[in-house]
Amino acid sequence: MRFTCIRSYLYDAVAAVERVVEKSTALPILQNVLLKTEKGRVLIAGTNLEIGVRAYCQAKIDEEGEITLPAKTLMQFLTHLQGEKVVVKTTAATGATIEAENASLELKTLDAKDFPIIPELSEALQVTAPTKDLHTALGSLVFFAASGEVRPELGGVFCAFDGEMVRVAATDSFRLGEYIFSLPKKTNTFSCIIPTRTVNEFLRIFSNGENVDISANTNQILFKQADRELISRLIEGKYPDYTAVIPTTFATRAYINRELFIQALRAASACSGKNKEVKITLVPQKNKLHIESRNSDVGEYVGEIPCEGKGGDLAVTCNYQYFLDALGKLESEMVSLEGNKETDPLLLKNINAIKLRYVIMPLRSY
Amino acid sequence: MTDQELWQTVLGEIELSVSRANFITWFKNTSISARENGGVIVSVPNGFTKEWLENKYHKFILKALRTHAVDVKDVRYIIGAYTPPKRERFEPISENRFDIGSLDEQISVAEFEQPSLINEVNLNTRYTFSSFIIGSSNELAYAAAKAVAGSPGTLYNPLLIYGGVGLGKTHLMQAVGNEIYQTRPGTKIKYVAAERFTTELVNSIQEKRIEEFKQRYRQIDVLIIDDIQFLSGKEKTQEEFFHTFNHLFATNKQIVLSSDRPPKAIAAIEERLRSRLEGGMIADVGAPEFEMRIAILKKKAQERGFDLPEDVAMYIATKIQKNIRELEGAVNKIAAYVLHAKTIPSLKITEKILSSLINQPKRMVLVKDILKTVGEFYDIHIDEIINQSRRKEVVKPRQIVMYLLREELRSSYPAIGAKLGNRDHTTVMYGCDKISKSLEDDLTLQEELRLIRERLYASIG
Repeated sequence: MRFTCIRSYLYDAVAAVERVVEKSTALPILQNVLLKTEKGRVLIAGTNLEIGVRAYCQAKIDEEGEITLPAKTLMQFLTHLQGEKVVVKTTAATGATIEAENASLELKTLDAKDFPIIPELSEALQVTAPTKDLHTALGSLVFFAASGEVRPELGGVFCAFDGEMVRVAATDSFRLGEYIFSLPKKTNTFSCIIPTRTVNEFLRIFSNGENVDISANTNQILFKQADRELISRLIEGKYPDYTAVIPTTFATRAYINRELFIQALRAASACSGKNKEVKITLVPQKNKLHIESRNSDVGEYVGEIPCEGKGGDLAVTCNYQYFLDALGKLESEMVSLEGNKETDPLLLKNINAIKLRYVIMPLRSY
Repeated sequence: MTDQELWQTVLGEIELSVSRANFITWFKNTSISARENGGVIVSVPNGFTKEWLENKYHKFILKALRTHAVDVKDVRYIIGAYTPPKRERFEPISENRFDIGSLDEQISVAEFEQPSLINEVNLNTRYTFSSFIIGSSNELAYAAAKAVAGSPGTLYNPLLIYGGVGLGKTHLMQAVGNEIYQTRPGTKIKYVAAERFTTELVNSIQEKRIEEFKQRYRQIDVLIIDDIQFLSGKEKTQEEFFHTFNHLFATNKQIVLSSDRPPKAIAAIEERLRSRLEGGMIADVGAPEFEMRIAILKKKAQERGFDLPEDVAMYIATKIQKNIRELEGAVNKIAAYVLHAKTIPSLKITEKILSSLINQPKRMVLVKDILKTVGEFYDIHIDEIINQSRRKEVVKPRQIVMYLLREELRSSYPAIGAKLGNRDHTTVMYGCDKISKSLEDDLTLQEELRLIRERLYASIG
């Protein structure tokens, strides 16, 4: 095999693939990426057997072939390389060299025949989704997914396609986020749970471009855009009917300046205990919001910020981190916080926007 | 033959002919999901495995199936339904409801299942700080342990105590646990030997209760693990321990560990774990000096209800030098005598009582033992050690032989030279010197010598 390509193209392609490759696995070849000439392009592929990534790179191919190279070493080399072009070629039976303007790297290869075959999807449904919406949805929600293995079905982001509408949701059963957007073209109804790791890879690989093509069957999902492909297993299981917990009516509502709210919560966090609890009291009649935290070892914090309120007083104890995570992803200057009783879930969202909603459970008060 | 038995047999056959890594990667979590009319459907965990088995191992699997079930004509592969591990204990009350404060509930459920973690503490109340005898060889470790017991999780975390056998590592660790138990009731303390940690982990993997295992360890406030050198080479245990460690460490929970050698010298332990161990306070306990040995003897005797005469204590302290447990054994023997004869033994009688303990009939180490052990250790022939070769791989073992002959047999330099192919005594002096110097900072060499000595004494034992 021998090909010449622009260094940054190769770098981008390897960078897209390299992250899924794990450093230590039982099978040494899983630490490698596959380089293969394919119809005038070079395919770079890597996998950890749960997620597979394929990236294509424009190249001038002199001799067809395929090799595998250690991912981390290759990445390290490409990162610090100067010059515009690189030449990759096989030497003898078990080696390859990568030559740049003023440096070259000789690497050991492993037989490409032993490299796992990244599966193709059979009987898959096809959807085309706008990249920006999908990226925002997944990015705003992924950190709300559960991280433990106690309930595997919550360890991912839920996507439900229904006609022209897509609902994306994530929850760890203490907090929930939902993002709704519409598709340019109608699709069949189906839903899936995408593992957190896959979502993170998606966010990294597909941040540009207008659309992403999605194919999915019951076990696997494939995201595809131009010269990048991400394939992953799906989490099996039934996602809980979370819509039941999103409050539809409210007894108290406050419009709060987002920045002020973040500042106040951060200040309160200094005196909060190990459950990260802060007490938030809405006093709509006085247009005030109080934030308190107390820790017998440290001390006590009392703060107050203005808000625009409606309804009766409401005092809830919450994990401030849940609020900070959500507020960081909201965008409008003012956010809306709605609630009913001190034990009922709270709804947090951008003012005058319905796409993104967060639901946060109060802590049981002590 | 049932489907399960058939697949087990087939796997057994395949395991023999593919590499271990390949077997684990591609055949883990596979099973026969259906079998009829000569067609077998094999369930595999993911798409990658399906592709690989279809493309690379199909013929192989088919052949193996046929040898055990002649009627098999065809094999197909499906991606099997993932069965989540059993988790009756953590099943939320209702699927649809957003459980109020379910964090609390989960913890309380967990506590309900194990109402008395403290009963599981495993601490021996005999081991307290007040019963620990302090000397210069262990005062640092003592001070660190005491500080940790005073403010767990904040001061020295993790605390690693290392030292040889029978020098009080376990005593100190248990004292930390006991003290915290006394002063801070309600703290969840767990003392566990590394070996038991491994067994628990293996069991929980077998019973698919790994999540429960994780939860159990992550709720602990003070985790004490003894003899972590036994984790060496057990990768999965190390990984699990690493995660538990990180979790506890991040939440400011105290971790106390012991090992018989410093983390640097534990072979086959992952680098990231090693660096974690080195990140906290490392204190060593050394062999007790003479005065301390006497103090220990007297204290132990007092605990047993008799006074040890000065000359007897001195006699024992001179004879037993390296191991506190042996000192305790000696006191026990004398205690038995006291109980039986109703009198405190004199020095003469003590010598007799302890003769089996102190003058263990031991064959002397011979020159050829040392040559043989070192040769085997470095995999070189004895002749090579003796002849005049100056190859690097021979020179080091030869110098180690010189060093051991000098240290263990107290041979003179010229005598050693004569034994090793008539070398000059200055050559021998240089060799011994070189090894003693490198021993000061070369941990690998220390470890090698320790192993060689172990083998040497095991071989003549």
